[in-house]
Amino acid sequence: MKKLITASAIIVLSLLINSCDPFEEYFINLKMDQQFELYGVGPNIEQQIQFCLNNYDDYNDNADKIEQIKYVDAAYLTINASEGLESDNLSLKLYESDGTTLLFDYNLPSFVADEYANKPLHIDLTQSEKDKINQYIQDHQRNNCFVAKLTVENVSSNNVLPYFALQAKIEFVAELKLKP
Amino acid sequence: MKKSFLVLIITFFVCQNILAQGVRIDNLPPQEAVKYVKPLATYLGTFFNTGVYHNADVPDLFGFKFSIVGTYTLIPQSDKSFKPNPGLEGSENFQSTATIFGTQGGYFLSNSGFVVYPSGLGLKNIPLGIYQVAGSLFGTELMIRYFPNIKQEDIRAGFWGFGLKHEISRYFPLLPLDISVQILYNKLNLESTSSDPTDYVKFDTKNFAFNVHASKTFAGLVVVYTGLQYESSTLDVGYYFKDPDGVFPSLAGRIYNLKVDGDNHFRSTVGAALQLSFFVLNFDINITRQTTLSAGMSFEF
Repeated sequence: MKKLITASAIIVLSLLINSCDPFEEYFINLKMDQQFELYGVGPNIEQQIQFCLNNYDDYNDNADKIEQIKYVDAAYLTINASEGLESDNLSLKLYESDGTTLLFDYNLPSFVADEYANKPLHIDLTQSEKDKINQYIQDHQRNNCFVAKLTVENVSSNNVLPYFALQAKIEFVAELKLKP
Repeated sequence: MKKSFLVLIITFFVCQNILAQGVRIDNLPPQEAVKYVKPLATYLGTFFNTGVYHNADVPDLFGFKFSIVGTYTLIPQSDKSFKPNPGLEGSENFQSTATIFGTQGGYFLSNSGFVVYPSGLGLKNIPLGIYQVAGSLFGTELMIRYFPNIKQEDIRAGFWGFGLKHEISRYFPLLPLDISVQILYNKLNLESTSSDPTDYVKFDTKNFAFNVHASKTFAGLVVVYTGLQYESSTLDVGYYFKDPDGVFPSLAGRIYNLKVDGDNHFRSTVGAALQLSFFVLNFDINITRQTTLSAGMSFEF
């Protein structure tokens, strides 16, 4: 009988405790779009931009509930380009906000812009590159901003004039772990 | 009372998270929104059809009952995620993503870029309460649940329900048990009253149940009861599809009205009640898709 009462008390107590806290931690994916516009006469065209996590509503709306931020994925998409634009190398570099501390350097040799107009290029980073980003954004209240640099090297196109243009988009996905 | 009801419902289903970041039905195309909210339809069907009896005996002459019922629903893992199928070219190998009760929204790379699915409320279980009154005459009981339509901030909410029960064992005086049949109908509606059409959201749930239950009273003090119930639920959802990822241009920018059927079919209930004069305490377990425990406090004569 004593055991039965104890067991019942434990069940009731755990129900009460659980009832008071029905929520568990949850995760949302933060998608960050960054557009680049590269123009020039070559041989290299490039653009450097700065962006911050607090440029995004999804981050701001949950800033006080964030327990952890983790880099998840990235992709490149061509929006518009000079006809037949090609290059020896597409380079995407991501730096910390100081613009000098490199987080990753992704390169794609033999880049053809049109190939990624309707099919994104999946930017597959190594684990150590992901770890570097995650270490930086661990303190996301302070380390909130990045510098991204997109370069197209030894560019060529079907244009008669040696003037090249590339509009592109990089999408990053980060995972926000939120307190209940 | 009105206010506390609103706070309860709105806290759970609308204001706190449904319209906040993380739980964004407005990010989902209609075919995915149905899968996202289906467990909510099931939950509402489960909740509203719980705590509706604790004794099959209905007074032969006149009876009155006021009850406060607390329910505690366990959300199964299978109701926390679903397999996306957005119907986009070039998209495959989807990871599971959260339903409205889940914790982890999924994402995938489509031909137009990443498509991000919303997270859920992150609920392990749902404790919720309701009150009801019942009156009986000549072995038939009418139970009423009602909350008037109330507007608070940008949300209008209202609820009503009824149950009609008849004791059939009164026609068989030699039966050692009391046996009753009961039908139930409950309707809850929540609607955004915002003038901005992109904020539009509507939840309208209708729940029906029919049960047969039996009880045996020992020494006029302890009642043991059990029942079998057929039930169904429908949730009408209206929302504005925003398509934040820009991958469904032909579907985006309009209001959709969806009809979502809950997974409510049958349940069995086993419970016991303690009758202390006018005061009755009861506890039961409801075995159904979302197992629910229910405890009630009633004042009855």
